[in-house]
Parts: sequence; C-alpha cells; structure tokens
Amino acid sequence: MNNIQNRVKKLKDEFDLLEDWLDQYTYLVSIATTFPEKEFEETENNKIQGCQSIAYLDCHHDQKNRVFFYCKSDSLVIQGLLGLVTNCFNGLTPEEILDFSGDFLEIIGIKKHFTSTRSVGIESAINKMKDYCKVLLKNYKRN
Amino acid sequence: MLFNPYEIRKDFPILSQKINKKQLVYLDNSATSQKPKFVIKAIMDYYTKNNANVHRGVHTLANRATEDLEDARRKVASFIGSKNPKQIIFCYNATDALNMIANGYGRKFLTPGDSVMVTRMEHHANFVPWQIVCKENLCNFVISELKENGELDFSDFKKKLTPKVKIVCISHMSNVTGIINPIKQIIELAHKNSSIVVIDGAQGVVYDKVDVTDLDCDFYCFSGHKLYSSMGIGVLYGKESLFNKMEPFRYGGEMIADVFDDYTTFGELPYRFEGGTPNVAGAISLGAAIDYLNSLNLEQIHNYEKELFNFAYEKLQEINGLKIYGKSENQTGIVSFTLANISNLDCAIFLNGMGIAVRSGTHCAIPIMRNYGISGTIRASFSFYNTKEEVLYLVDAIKKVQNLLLAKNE
Repeated sequence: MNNIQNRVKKLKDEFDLLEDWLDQYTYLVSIATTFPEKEFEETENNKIQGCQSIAYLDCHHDQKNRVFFYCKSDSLVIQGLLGLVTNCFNGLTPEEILDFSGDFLEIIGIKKHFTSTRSVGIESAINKMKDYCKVLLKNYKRN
Repeated sequence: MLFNPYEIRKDFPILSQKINKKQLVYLDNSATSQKPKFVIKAIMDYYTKNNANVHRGVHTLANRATEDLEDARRKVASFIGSKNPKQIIFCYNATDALNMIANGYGRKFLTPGDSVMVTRMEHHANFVPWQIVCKENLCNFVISELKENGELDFSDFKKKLTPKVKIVCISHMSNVTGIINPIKQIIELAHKNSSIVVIDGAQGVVYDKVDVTDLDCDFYCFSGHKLYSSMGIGVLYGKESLFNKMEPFRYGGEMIADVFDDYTTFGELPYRFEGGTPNVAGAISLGAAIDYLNSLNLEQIHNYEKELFNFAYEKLQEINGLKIYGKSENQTGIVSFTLANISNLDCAIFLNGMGIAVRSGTHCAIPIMRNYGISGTIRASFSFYNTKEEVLYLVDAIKKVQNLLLAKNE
C-alpha cells in the first residue's frame, strides 16, 4: 500500500466508526475548524468550480518537490471535505498524487450522503491539485 | 368546513416517509411540489389504459389520448380564466415558455433602439433570454429596481417605462422573497405605454388566483410541477392576436399545415407552437392536479398558505442572528433567510440531517442576490400540506444548527 492508499484507508476506518449521518457531518465540521488556516488571495484562477459553496485552493511545493495544498470555503462541510483531501495529499510527491485514481468520497465511504453536484466540487478540487502536479512535473523534467 | 392540513397530507404518499430517521418535513415547495395520489393515479391510468400518440391516429387509443390531452387543455384554460383553450400552449415548463416568447416574439419584433424592461427580482428564466435577445437585436435591456423591503419600486418602474419599452417582463411572485407583484396595475400602465407584458407565473399560479382575462394579460406562463402535477409539462397562455404574429419556436411534426420543397406553412393554434410529440401524460397530470385543487377550494388553500407564511415569518424572525429578506403585505408562501456566521449550504445540510428539506443558494435569481450583497439564502417554501407544527420543528432545528455550528466556529 502506498502513502495515499494508507492515508485514505485510515480515513475510511474513521468514518466507518461513525454510523450516524449527523455524526459524520459533525466530524467533517470539526476537521474544518481544527484544520490549520492559511491566508491566501482569493482569485478567479484559484476558485474551485462546481462547488455549491464558494471555495478556493492554494498550491505550493518545497525544495524537495513535495506538494502542499490549502483550501478555504464559506461552508464548514465543504472545508472539512477539502481538508480530508489535503490531509491525504499534503507532503507527497506529484507522482504519488497523480497516481491516485478513483472517487475520493466513494473510497472513504461517505458518497451516499452527497448529491452528484456536490461530489463534482470535490472532484474538481482534486483535478485542480493534479493539474498543479502535472505542471510541476513538466517543469521539473524540463530543468 | 375548516381547512385541515393533517387530512390533506394523507393525499400525498411521499410525505409519510422518514429521512435520516426523522419524519420528512418538506419545505422546498417552490422548487417543486409533491404530488397527490390522484395525480399519480392519472399518470398511471394513462399509461396502463390509454397511451398512444395524439392527433395523428384514428384508432381508439389515439382518440382517447387526444381527448384526454384536449380535456386537460380545457381545464387549464378554465383554471387561469382563459376564454379559449386555443390560447393554451403546452410546453415543458415556464423556462421553456419564456424562451418561446423571447425567441418567437421578441427576436421577431424588437428593432434596434427598442427596450425590454425586466425587474431586479426575476428568475434567470425571465431575465437571461431577454438579455440575449436585446444584445442580438441591438435593444436596451432595462432593469426596474426594488425598494429596500423587496417590493417593486413603482416610481423607478414608471420612470423607466418610456415609449421605447416594447415588452415588460415581470414575475407574478418572487421566488426569493414571496412578494406578489401588483400585476394588474403593471399591465394597465404598460398597455397605456403600448408595451406588451410577459408574466412569469411559476410561483404566482401556485399561491394566487389567476384570471388572465381580467388581468388583460398578453402572455402568462407557468410550470406544471410546481402546481402539483408532473415535471416536464408547462403552460404558455397568450392573446390570440399575439400568437398569430409570433414565430413558432420549435419546428417539426404536428405544427405544420403543409410542407413544400422550398417553404412550409404552419398549422392552427395551439398546435403551431407544439412541434413534436407533447408530454401527454404530463398534461393529463396537470388536468388532474387542477381537479384536485378545485375540489379543495382554491381560496381556502391560499388563505391557509398565507396564514402559515405569517406564522413562519413571525417565528423565524425571533431567532437570533436570522435575517429574512423581503417584507410586504403582499407576500406569501416563501421565506428566504440567512444565518449570521453560518453558510447557507451548511444550514441546509444539517437541516436535512433532521429530516427537513429546504433549498440553499441563489434560487436562480443572482440579480436580486447581488442587490442584497449576498451569495444566496436558505429558502423555506410552504404548501397547504405543511403544518404549524412543522414550522415550529423548523425553528427548533435552526436553533440546533446554530448551537452545533457556531460552537464549532468559536
């Protein structure tokens, strides 16, 4: 099992313990409120399309080419969901992130609580993260 | 006889279910209404006994289906006070009807320099098609503003109603604030100005009595699914003189008179505007919904909905941090609100957790949201099958959401 698979499995195990719908959402809200905040500019370019609330994504990498993402949303539920994704992805290499495939919400077992339009927002955030990784890899290879 | 919503609820099978282990409280009626069992049975009967394509057959089933469709047209005409069923065009929904008018009438008759006036409270369906046609026909797109309480600003309306305004487009009732516009007065003013008036009745037909003849309405449209019938059926009413000048929006089968190699002549009203196989089951379901509403007494329904609205408004505004948008004597059915420091989406999600269905977002009315300087609202919309008990449950649930989310946010 690679890094992402390990992290995603841990999340799934956590959610499996929360059978009640309300408990799962409350857990998402706690993730949103305990997640480290980072101020960044909100632009059209870093807006996450498809989210029913307003959400933004900020992408970074360090000298070892490890990638870090920060998200913010006016909705605590969306912020919590995005927090789950960034928790899984942060500190990994672009290759590891690009290697991740599948439906994130399905894998962690909470897809049934989300309409397809809301899932699209999370998919869109993951695609945006992957796009950043692709550009990073391309530049890395060029150099 | 006293209006008893608890008895009426028995007519709506969907309402008895539990959502997230709680009794469903359906307060998203302005998005779509639930269907009484009589409407469901009418659809079932049509498909189990009478289904055939209409107009073109001579066999018994085709005749039955055609008769049922035309019967539904007569019921709709009578329901909205139209003297002639030919003035009732079946389409998909109010959005479809408004696009038909914008493209079939607006595009044909608007000339450069003309103006079309809409209001700040319009649903996108009565805003965007006109904005596009105005751009293409080099016309002015004029927006009539609202007062702070959400009512139409009549002085602004009159000021902007210049001789250049050829078409006035206004909703009978706002789908955000629930405010009912004085459409009779607006039509009179517009007609004195030689403007025609397009009324979006998507919400108005549900909460207010409509009499297109008394209103002297040029065009009036609505969706069947908000009026307790199935989705995919809508109505466009228009004056015959206007329909006769209007270009069909959808070319195809039943709408033609004759087809030659180089030109086509079009059929009579209403079929000229009903190209393609219509939604026969939908039309029949609308006829059944109208029968059902008439059997309950429309005036009693509207009075009860107004009473429920007043009760909800009063109880909701007592909640700390809750702000309601729109305040008018002529308001019913819909309460739009925001909660301080809680996103609309989060509130709607947690209410759903407690079995309550409300809507959050812009409600396809970004121009009014921008006017209020907000990204959206939470909207609770009531029907005659809702109860005061449900309103109190909503109030209690909102307080629980506040306790849960505001505590987390501190």
